[in-house]
Amino acid sequence: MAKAKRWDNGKILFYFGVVAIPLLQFLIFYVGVNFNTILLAFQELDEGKFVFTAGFRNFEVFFHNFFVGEMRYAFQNSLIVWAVGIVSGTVLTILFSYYIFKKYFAYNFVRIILFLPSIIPGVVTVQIYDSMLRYLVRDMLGGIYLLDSTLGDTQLLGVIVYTVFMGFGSNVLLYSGAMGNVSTDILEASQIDGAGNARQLFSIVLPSIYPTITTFLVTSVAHLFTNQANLYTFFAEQAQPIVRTIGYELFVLVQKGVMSAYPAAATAGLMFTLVAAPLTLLVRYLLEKFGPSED
Amino acid sequence: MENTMQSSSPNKFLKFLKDNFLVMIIGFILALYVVIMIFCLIWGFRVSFTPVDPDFSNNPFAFGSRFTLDNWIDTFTKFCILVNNRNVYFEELILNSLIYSIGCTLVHTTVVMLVAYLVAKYPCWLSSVLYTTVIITMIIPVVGSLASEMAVVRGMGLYDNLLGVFFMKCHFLGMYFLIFYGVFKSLSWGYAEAAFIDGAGHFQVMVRIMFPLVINTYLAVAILFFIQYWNEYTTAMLYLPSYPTIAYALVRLRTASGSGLNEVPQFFAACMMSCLPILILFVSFQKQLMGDLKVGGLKG
Repeated sequence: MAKAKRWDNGKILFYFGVVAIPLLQFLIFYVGVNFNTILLAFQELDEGKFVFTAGFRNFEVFFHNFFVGEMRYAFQNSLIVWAVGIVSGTVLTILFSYYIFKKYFAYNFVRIILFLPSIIPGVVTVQIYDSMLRYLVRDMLGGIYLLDSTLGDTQLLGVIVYTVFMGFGSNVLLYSGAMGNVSTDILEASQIDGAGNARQLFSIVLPSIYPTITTFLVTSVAHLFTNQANLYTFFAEQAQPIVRTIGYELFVLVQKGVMSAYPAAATAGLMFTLVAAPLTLLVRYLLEKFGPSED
Repeated sequence: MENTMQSSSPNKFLKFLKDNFLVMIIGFILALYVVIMIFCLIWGFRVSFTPVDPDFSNNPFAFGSRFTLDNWIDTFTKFCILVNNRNVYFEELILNSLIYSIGCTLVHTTVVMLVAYLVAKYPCWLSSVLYTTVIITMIIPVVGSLASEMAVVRGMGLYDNLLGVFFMKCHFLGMYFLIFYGVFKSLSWGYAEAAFIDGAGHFQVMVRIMFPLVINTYLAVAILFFIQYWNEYTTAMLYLPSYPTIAYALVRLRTASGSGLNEVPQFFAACMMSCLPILILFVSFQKQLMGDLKVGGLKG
């Protein structure tokens, strides 16, 4: 085997010249920030500075909040939002993408409408949705306003329905893009052999786009505890504990601008990373082990 | 013969039903979705042209209401939020949104494309490290680094600084890296080699030969980023308190009074107006946006 040609100075200069700033950004805002998260978990604010006098106190507070306080609701809600997102976000998105891929009636118009919620600001769609529930749907539901803060479970349902309804946009684009790689020859041959749409979808299209599905599923697990579920847009800092998610809890802790809350937020983040990281790897392993092979 | 024809028609119909049952179900759900979505948007738009009425809840469909531009005009003259003891009005909010969105879009899209180009076309140990890093950061989540990021941003003097925020957006991590990587991988290096023989340097090859080949992908990703940054309010809220954007102002307006626009129709007018720039962008670049974005697997 021939030895790779050595890089000349011009090539080295070009490569490192281009990569320098992104690399510096990565070292500061990924490596540095995450390392600092670990340090913050053992620190507390003292006269405007973070000092290492907290020991494991932040962890004690975290476990108390989790098992005795209200954080368990947030944990539970994060799982619910994620599970509903997986079922609707994956199943419905794939079905919609298939409709677009097969170019059925008005597919281009449908694609634009599905994408619209992704381009309209979240606060606008939240406002329309909220007003619809408040002024139009309320009467249909016998006077129940789904986002009423006194109705815990119903409020969560209202938020989840919104999240599902508005969440197809770019995923449909990416799935239908992936479906574009499926060989039309194979599809035509299967049609001649009498395969219907369902058969084509499950036996040809799905195995072909399996790597894309895996990517979406794995990244969705990775975002399990960072998903705010648009709660801040709906309720600002006023979301009831019973509808909060972990992503929302952590965001609000920092958003309030109280520096003394940073160590608590960092500790919670660290603990949930310890849960989410192995879970993500496990999901990836299972999807690769039990999914269709590339051959 | 007649009997055979009579029995084949229902059979054909049953086969048609069986073959297309799934598509019919999907079509039905999609039709429902499209109708609801269009109704919501038209309703929102209609309300923005409805006169302010303290009893809005009595006539939410705005039946028989006269058509007025007052709410849209009020958005320009009255819509403001209080920042650092001064009122920031609609024009400034839009300007801030434009500066923030365009700056972040250019920086982010370009950095992702540059790094993906290097990793795809310049194989070396660092390229392998960068590729693996992207995959690992997508697979292994980091939760709750916001507090630490805030501490670092404040510590580095990047807080409330537009250039500082642009630097924060100079990152290459995420799914769009994989999209660019896939596109560059599929391009032949033959063009570049021919250019090297003609005396072109690496920078010239990158800018004048390779980048024009991915311009459609660049445009599509840039538009997606622009929309994302235009709609996002958390960065302005957390890191740029002196540069409020329109999205941030609308979030504040939703949850606080005293903004000058407290009635539902007025708020809808401000909402609809904030959508106009991205709707124009979407209509202008719909073809690129709806084009060929593909993402593959996570092979690390």
